[in-house]
Amino acid sequence: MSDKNVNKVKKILAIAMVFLSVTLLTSCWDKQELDQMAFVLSMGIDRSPAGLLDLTARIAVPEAIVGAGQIGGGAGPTAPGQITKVLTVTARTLPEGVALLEATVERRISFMQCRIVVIDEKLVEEGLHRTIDFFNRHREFRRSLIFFMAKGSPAREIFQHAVPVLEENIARYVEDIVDIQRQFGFSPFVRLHDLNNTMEMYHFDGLIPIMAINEEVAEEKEGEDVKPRPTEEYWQDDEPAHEELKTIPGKLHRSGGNPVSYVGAGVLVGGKLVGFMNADEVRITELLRGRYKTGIWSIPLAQEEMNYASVILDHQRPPLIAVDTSTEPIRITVTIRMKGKLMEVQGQDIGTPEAFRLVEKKIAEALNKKALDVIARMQSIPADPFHFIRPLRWRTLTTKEYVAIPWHEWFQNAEVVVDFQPEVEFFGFQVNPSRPNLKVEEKVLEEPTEEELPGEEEWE
Amino acid sequence: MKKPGMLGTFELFLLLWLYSTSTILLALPRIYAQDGQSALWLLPIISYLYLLPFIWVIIKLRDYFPDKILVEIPVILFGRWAGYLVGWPLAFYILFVTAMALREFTDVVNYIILPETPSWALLLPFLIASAYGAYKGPEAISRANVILLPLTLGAFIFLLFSSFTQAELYFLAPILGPGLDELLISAFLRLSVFIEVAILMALYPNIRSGKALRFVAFYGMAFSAFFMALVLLAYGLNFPFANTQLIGSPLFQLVRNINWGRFLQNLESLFVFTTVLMMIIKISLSLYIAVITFAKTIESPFYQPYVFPFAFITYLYTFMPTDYLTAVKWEYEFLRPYGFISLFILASFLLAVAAWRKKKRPRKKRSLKREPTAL
Repeated sequence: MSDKNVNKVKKILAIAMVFLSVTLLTSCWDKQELDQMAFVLSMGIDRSPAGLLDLTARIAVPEAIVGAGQIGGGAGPTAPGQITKVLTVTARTLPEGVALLEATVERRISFMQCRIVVIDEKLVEEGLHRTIDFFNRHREFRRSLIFFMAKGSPAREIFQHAVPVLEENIARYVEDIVDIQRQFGFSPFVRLHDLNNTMEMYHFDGLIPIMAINEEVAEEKEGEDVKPRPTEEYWQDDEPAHEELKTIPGKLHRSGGNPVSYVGAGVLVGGKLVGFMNADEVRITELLRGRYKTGIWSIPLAQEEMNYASVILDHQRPPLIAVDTSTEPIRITVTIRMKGKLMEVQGQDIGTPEAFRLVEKKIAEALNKKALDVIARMQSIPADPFHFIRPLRWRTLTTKEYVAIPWHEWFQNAEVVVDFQPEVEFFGFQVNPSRPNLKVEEKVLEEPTEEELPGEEEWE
Repeated sequence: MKKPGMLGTFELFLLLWLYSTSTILLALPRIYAQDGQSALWLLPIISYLYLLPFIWVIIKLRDYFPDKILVEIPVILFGRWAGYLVGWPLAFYILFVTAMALREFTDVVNYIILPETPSWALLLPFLIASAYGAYKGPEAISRANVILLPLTLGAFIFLLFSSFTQAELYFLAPILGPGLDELLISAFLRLSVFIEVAILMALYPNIRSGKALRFVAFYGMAFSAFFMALVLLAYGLNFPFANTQLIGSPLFQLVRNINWGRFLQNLESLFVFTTVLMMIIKISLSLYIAVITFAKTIESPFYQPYVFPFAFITYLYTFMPTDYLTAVKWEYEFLRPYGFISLFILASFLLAVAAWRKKKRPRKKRSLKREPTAL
């Protein structure tokens, strides 16, 4: 064959290749038309009374969302019930549930946009390892998928009751919850990745955030709206709180807003539920784990006078954890340094460095006590969601040595010393609280009496 | 001065890096995790130390036969029959190993990106591109590798360092994993991970000098081992040792975990793009080596006519394992270990015979060399 002919053949081959690639590289097999897909935004899983699984999915209605976002139109639907649909199917397994969902919805189900999974308390008690395998394997779920546990009611009811206070975009609503979680730590931020890690890692225990329906607010819900109840009713529901606020999931005393609360956590050992923590305890745990970022704390300065100092405490540096295994029982020492900004001081002068140190001391005492209380409670289980074993990981050279450590036994009997070291650096625009002048102070600061004040009678 | 068919030292260095490192993209991190647990990243570094004698043999062998590739050496030393004995199995061995890597790669892409597309359709354009690269020869493959470097090495490094943002330092403890003794044994048993260094024996005529080969073989493989250790370090920092052994597509999962808030996430597309580029270059070179080995064995003056038939055979071999796990098992339990042992023994034996003959007939040194065959 002459060179001319060879070149001709080459050209023909090249052109044929181009045409062939057009037919081969179109990805027609994997085509996904957006208007033929049903995007699941969040999922709930319950153990049904018959022992099966109830799979609940919140599916976006894209057309309604687009309508809600129309600028100037103003008439689009915005309630979750209008821009999303909640469906439940009962199945033996999660994949079977997904298949049945697909048979129910006329479109193909996609989990690409799914951000949150709420799992029923019963299933967590049974152990998460059975539930999360589906999420680990499925290509559409990422390890950044966020998990919650439904406490006090099935996950399905959480979906029925959730009414975002401000957010109209459900996907954004989920992101906002997570942002708040990460920022203030009233409930832990737990992804599929974290659940896997704490379940599989030797000597590490985990937490799972709680979603719970606040019964007081749930009663205020009428249809898609929540109408705050009258003050008299609100006060009737108020139990004596004294110095401790109720930060137990679902029990926070409040009115209006979203009936679903996102505070507190379940404690997991090997992926099984073994206990609970209220919002304050979760914050302390996050501090001990080194995941805490910031938060507002109200600390009693003088218990008998109900005087509080309120302070923003920011994360300063990771906690220093020391484990001394040479003693019997072992001794765990945790040192945590934080930076603080004073927000309020009730009835006490703090205008000197010494007074500032006193406030810091009071804060440290209060936090130390809270920490020791929660640690003692976890020791009684025993569960170590604080990950105090970390220093021992570095001190053991081999995995065999590390795995052989009887950590839960050691931790259960450990002597724990917690040393919070808050440094209150900023006092705001005022050094000392405003007080009545000295001449009238004694009179004004007298305890209020039951007697009627002059002129009060006329008002009545 | 540039010589046609010759590869620059730095080009060859980068080609060897890509060829040997691309194994880490597939199942290798999981296999290393089974052996090394929390110390998985130490294994390639230790393995490299064991590899040094093999590298030395490869360098020394070229000193005797600078213009020949491995399958031509037995012909010179023992005659035509020896060439057939070595060449035929070697060519098809390379094809089979290539097919296994291809199968693993196809299955991963098939599951994570294009689940509905049948494997045969996925493989076809990929293999056509690789065959075209092989047809053009090592010089073109090497140039393409250098040009694509920002998209391969650059993207890889970017992804690697992005993954460190999710790292937990204590995942690396206990620092010695299963123990130093077990690490040393496992690193030795996994030496075949670096079998890719043997490609240098098929590129002898394309290497400028013995000095260039020394540089590429020692430092190129050191860089590859270091890079693999870095990848394994990232993997080990993101997943605890109890978990690293369970993940099917380790690096893909690692990349999926990258999350810089709302600014940067969902980076797996970049990873897949990088992987495809790296694998095309790797498969092109593998195919070229298989074909040149075959062509030299049968004393064919050209290797090009065999490229597409060999690509077709590779395509068929790819479907021999029933699934991904079988392909991984065949590759890491049989093909690589036995292939490495055979190649090491063969190269050492040829070197010993060449050295012995040179010693015996020092004045006839030049007679060992033949004029290079025009290919």
